[in-house]
Amino acid sequence: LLGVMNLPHLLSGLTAIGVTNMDVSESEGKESKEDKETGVPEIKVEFELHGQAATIILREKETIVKCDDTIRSLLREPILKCFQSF
Amino acid sequence: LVMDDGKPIRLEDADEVLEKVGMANHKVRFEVRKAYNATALRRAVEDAESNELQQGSTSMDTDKDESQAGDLYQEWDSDRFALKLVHIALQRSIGKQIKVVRELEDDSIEIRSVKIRAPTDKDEFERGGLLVGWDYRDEDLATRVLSIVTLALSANR
Repeated sequence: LLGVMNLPHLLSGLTAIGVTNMDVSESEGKESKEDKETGVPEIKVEFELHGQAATIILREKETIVKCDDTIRSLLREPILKCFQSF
Repeated sequence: LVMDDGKPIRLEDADEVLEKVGMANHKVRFEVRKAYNATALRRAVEDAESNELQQGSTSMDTDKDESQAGDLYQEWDSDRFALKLVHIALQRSIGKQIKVVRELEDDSIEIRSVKIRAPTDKDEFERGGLLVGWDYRDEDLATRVLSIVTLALSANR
């Protein structure tokens, strides 16, 4: 995949598949466990879909999607669609 | 395949071209939790062991089998057994085509970018399921692995 992840597109894509409450947080360096390991700033989107908790971690060069297998197929399309390729 | 204005069409290394035009690869990694029924898994293992012991009672290795079974129940770890089952299932189904590696250091299974492991305290997942992660480029492989994992674990429910 090329380009950058477009956060507003991601959030609207998640809304379109039925996600209502999203907790979006930004961390720089030392605050999160992830940063301690990688030293890379990140944006974390946490939400529930069909009663299952899920987290999407956005970094400059990677996106990590953590979810239950039952909602994976629902999340895949909005995540891949919001890639802003050139 | 590169097409520039005024230059002939040519084949170039993808990484080199991306660097030239200032574009970066973006990696998307999925990590999903595959839940399983730990109680049913244990029952299935016990039944299998019980059958083995019954069959083994006619053989000369009965004492050895009983001592192994004793160790098995003392150190019961459902995730480890689930991983073992999954490893066997993967080796049988795709092991001849793709290298299936069992990493004993962190007790995980790796097939290209697909990694199967038990959750740890650092993870944001609740326990009682295996975690399967993969890079999006291996999506097709991951789909196959997930179906094998599902079958391996559901066969013991």
